[in-house]
Amino acid sequence: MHRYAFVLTRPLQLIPVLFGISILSFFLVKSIPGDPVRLLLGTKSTPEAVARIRAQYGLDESLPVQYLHFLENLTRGEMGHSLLYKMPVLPLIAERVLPTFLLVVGSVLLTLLIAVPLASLAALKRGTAADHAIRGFTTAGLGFPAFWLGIMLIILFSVKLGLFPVAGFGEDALTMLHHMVLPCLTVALALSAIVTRNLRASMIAELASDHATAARAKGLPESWVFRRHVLPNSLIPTINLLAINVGWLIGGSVVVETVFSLPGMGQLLVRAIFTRDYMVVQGVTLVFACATVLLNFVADLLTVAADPRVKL
Amino acid sequence: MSLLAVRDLAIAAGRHLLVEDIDLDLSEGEVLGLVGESGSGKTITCRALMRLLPEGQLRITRGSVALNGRDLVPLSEAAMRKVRGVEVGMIFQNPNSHLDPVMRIGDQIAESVRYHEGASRADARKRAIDLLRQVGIPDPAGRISAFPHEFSGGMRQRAMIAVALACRPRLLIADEPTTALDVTVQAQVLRLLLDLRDRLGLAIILVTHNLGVVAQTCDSLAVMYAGRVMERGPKRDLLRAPAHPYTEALLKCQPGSAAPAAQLPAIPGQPPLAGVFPEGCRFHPRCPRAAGICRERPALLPAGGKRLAACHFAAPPRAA
Amino acid sequence: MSAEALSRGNWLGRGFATLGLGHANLNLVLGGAIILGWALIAVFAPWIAPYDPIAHNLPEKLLGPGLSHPLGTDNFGRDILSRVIYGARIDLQMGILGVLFPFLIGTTLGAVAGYAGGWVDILLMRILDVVLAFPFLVLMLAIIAILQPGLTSFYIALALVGWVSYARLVRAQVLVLKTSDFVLAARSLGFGRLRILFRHILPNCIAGSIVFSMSDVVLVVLAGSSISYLGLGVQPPTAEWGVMIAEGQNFITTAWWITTFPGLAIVLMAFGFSLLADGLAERFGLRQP
Repeated sequence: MHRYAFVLTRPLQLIPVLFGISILSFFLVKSIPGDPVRLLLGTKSTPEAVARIRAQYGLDESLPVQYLHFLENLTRGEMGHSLLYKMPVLPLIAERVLPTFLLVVGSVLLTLLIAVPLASLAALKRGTAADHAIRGFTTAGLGFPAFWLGIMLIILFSVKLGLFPVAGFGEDALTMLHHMVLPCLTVALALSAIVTRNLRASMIAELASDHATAARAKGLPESWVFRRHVLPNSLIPTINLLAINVGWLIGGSVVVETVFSLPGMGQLLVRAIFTRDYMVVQGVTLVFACATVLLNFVADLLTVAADPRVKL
Repeated sequence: MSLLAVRDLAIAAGRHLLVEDIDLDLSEGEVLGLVGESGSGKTITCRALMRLLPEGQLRITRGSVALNGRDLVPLSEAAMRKVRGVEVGMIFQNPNSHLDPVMRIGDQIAESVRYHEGASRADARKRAIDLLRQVGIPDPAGRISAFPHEFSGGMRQRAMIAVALACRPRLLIADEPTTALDVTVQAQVLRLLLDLRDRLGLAIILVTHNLGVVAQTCDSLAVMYAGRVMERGPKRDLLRAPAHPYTEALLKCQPGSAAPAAQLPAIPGQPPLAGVFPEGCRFHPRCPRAAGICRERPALLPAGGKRLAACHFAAPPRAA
Repeated sequence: MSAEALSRGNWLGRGFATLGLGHANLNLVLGGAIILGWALIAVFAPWIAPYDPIAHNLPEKLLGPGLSHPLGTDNFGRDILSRVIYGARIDLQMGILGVLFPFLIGTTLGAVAGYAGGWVDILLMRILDVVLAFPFLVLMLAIIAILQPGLTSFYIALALVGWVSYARLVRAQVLVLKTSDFVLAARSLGFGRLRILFRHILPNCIAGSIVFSMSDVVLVVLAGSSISYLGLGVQPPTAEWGVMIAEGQNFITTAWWITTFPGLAIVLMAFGFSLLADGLAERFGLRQP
């Protein structure tokens, strides 16, 4: 079978998980205490109005039937209405995908930009002061709260140095990029701690590997051996590590969006929770879950591309 | 002049001498078998010849390794890089782990050509195809972009030979090249090595613990035990009439020797651990002929014919 | 081993090495000392804290760090040091209780599913897959949205979401131990299934969960303070580090100390638990997952 055949078969395997996600999202909203219709209409509504709305939204049906309606609506991209924004949920979310997407992708790129040099330095200069400092960073960095780190970066780079905007999202590509630097750096600093730690360990193992010895026996200089043999091999487990942390990454972006007032999905979620805008909570949760599944799929693709031995 | 002359080589881990008094000679087109049990120091001797000992753990403390009359031991790392791969190629026991799993075979062959000779991508590729053909891989142009895991064990070992020969070295160090392979494939790989010797005039150091392999391929032999050379000389002499009791014991342990298979003897006792070698002759605690004199270290001396042996009882014929 | 401890060694490492304690123990000792320190601060907060953590004192608002207020005051004139000290009570409690419930639930479910096998196991694995498909924090926020923002909801949400890691960890080890010789021996002696599971198998696979729980505390403390920062966890005016940071964010241009010190407190506590986790992992001969 072709190595990339899983691109076709994997979606089939994911169907149970996607069903699970939809069931959980459905029951999330179903388990809200109190009557959703009274919530919608207010406490002074007449019994007739309540009954009408009940019938209109299919709330008088049994739970399984309601779930099927929910699924049917989902396939049409129908996720209900936002009480606060007075508009359908899906377009509301769509408006806010870009900042979140940029934040997640930018953070991962920046993480690699930080972690690869640091891990290389630590692995090549093992046992030196630089290695100890980097190891200290990886142990302490795990415990840095992203929201606090963000504020510290704002104090340093925006308030004191005036290099970056304090909050918000730009209009054109360039100002957007400018606004994204600090949020991405915030997430990347926290994430690069764990990535550096992992990458350093696998680089040390690869430096001592048989194939690195064989490469040295070809008369190749250490820098070449590192770049061409050690680095590609030690990046493979890093892809896996990033895949495991996709959920963490998205969770972190929710908090960081709030810190920097980025108009993304995370900020939408937090506001919806405050305003009890349950349809939006449900929609954003659902989209985030699907994004997690999708990103894991992308990580699988990258793994297959990076490691010719892997078959999925 | 011999191609390679090793004199008085000693290797230490910290304060412990692991290997000492190594003398070896090799001329163009010669196949030298380096034989011994595991732990006898064969592999680290080979690594020392390439100056590839793990940094900070093992180092050469004494001796010289003269390649074409030039001593490699004092060379700088940069000068040494022009020796590795270019003048001396090396292949290893386990082709599975010694080939980079995520680099295409062709690139692994071509990279040293590109580095050492500054060859263009196309030229290096041509050389890689040519080398794969020379080591007997069918459809070399098609296989050049395969990854190691797509090769069988024997093909991987052939590919590793091609990697080692990429810059046309005169000397090939083969560290147990057949140990990890099936018996049928072993014979093919050995035949390939001999064939390359004949066609390219390659000199080969063949490290092995298998005397059957030695009998098939080598011209001369050096037997190592506990970090020292016990006996060396032409293969025929050593196999027919070993001068050293250790060589003799080793020969008796080989299947297919004089003794019936059912009572294949083993050498009594265990080989000593590195760093806690016995005084005098290191084999004496296990030697059937050991006597008081064996507590003194025997020198490697002529023991009849062209052979040298480090045993007090391998008396040179003139003294008799 | 000792050579490696020395090669890593700063002066402290060498000191402990000469005392006969290896590097693993250095992590344990240092991490333990930090956490013990926080625990003492939390327990004795009313005696240590120089001021009331909640009472407003407007004449002294927004004072920088100085003699009377070592870490300064916030916009209500409350002493930051006192609030950080009282905050240790909440954040330490969040870390410990927040790990305890998922640990108990996950370990039990994982052990039962792994030991029972069959449809129980299949069902559990499906649920695991679905819960893991959600980003941890997002699912917690969604659950908190349905309950009420607050500390109790945080614990409930954490129990509902956090157990999966433990269940997966324990299940995998139970599957291995189930077929081991000593379990077969216990079974041949006629011991009951529950007795075998809880007396023989579980004690042998708990080490991995304990080590994981230590690094999990770090995540839980961060999650708890993040959620409180968002305004969905601990509610003001309670002194909690995440809440303090949120309250101080409006004053970052004028009063950096309001946000800086509670954050450092989180970092220090998390660092202590990280060291404990590393030390325990090495003590048990486990690498961290």
